[in-house]
Amino acid sequence: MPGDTVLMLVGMDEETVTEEQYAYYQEKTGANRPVMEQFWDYLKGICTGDLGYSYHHNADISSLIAARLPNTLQIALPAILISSLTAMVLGCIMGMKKGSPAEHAVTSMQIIFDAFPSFLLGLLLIALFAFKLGWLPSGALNSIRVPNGPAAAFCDRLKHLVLPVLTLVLGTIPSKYLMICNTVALQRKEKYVLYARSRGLSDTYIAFRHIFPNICQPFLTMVGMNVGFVVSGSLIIENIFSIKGMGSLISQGITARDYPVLQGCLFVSAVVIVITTLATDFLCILVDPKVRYKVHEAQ
Amino acid sequence: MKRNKAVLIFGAGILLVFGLFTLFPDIFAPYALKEMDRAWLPCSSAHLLGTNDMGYDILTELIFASRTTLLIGLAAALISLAVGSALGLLAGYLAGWKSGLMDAVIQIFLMIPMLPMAIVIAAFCGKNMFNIILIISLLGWCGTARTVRTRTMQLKQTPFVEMLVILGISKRQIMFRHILPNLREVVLSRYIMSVARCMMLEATLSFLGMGDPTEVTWGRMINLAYKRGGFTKGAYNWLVMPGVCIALIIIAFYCINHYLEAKTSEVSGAQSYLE
Repeated sequence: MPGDTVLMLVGMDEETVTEEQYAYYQEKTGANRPVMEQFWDYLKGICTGDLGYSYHHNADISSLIAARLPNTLQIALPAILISSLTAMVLGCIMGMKKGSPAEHAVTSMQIIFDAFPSFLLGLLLIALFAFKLGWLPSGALNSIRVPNGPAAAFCDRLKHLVLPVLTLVLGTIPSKYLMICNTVALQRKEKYVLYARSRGLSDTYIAFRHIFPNICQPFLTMVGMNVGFVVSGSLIIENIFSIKGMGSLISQGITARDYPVLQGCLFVSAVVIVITTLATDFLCILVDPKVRYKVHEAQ
Repeated sequence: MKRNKAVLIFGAGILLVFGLFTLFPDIFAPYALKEMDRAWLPCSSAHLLGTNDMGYDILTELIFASRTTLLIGLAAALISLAVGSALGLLAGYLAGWKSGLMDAVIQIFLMIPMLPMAIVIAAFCGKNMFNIILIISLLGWCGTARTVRTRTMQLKQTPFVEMLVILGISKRQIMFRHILPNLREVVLSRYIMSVARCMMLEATLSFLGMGDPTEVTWGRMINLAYKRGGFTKGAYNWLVMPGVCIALIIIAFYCINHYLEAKTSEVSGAQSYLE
């Protein structure tokens, strides 16, 4: 790693610092103790919810993250919800119509969205809706002067959320859509679908009531992965829309060489990923009787 | 089948054009890489896509950037493919605690949030092309490993492998001489898709300012255009065209992959990814 941690923290370099000063600051920051001992202290701190102290932000990292995480979740959760629902509905409908012109059009569209870098998509959305048309604000989560009254403030926030959420949604639909569309098209040839069809049920009904419950296990896993990754992965979106969330905390931490903050952020996102993975596994058990009774051996 | 051919020709055509750009940038580029004209020129016959803030011709930069971007994508995907298929093969074929250990490693790498991790490593290791390639490949191998592992486990159950075991042929020989050639299609399709993904990750890293500052890549062009006011000056070519190039190449890889999968599914009856 580049640079001496102690020198960086006190803002001096090798030329100006004296031996005593260096020793004093090393003692004070605890940088002269063995690495394992420092790490042990860090682990003990984590257990009590103390993630360390950021010299750059001059604040406790736990409280820093606690302040930033809600902002990220405000973008991430609606985005995941909307994109999962859209992908599911579109995927089910188009999967039943596999091979038709409509399906070809939608799938090609999704592939193009998938191939287009999401940061550029965000920039173009800003250029169109914020600069050219002036309908929506170009960044941040509030106007500089938040309007009075809860309803007006809420509307203001909503307006600011549209573009970031839209960018995330457009970027995360394709993978889920392609997955659902293909599995539905595969399942379409199974016998239970044939029976359902011979009972006179409509394609849409079959897709949502009979096929989707069968294939929702990989879908749930995929959504779960999305939740975990978006917490830190909305980095680009937060950068473009200048939103103060986890992602911008990470990118600031990198430019300022703020190691404690980076450690804290990566730790928190790892925890979120583990929790969501666990939650999706439980959800799969709840939803899918095949998993519950171990009828179907997972690979 | 006719449709598949058309898809293949479309994809291969795009790749051919960019391949030529990569091999002979001097022939296609109208100017030399750092040749300066007036800044912020609009599109004209002299500068087909205009010029940027330094007066560089944007089309020339695009053509020269295709070399670095493609090189990074191909190299990173190759390394991740080698690591991924080797580990996947071992995890799939070996049994007991060794396989369990491999599985655990693959699972852990799958869980790592790729982008933040890549940024952190890129920031600490220094920004040069070699490091970028290494970072992308070291974070991208686990998907390949998982696919290869599943396929190997399937192959392990087939009669021909069982027969080889009965004949007393060593594990190493079975794995590398008999199973590996059968993974050809899986590995090829993974490679094609991971080139696309590696290019995208490189572009994202460069956009966030973590790329090699001495090389021209598409992501870096977007980054500069964003930072130096391509927006406010209305130089949308500078901003959008690199993105369009990335999208075109990725679509080309999709198309080729689609054709290959359709072809193998004809043979084996397996279902294609896209259709």
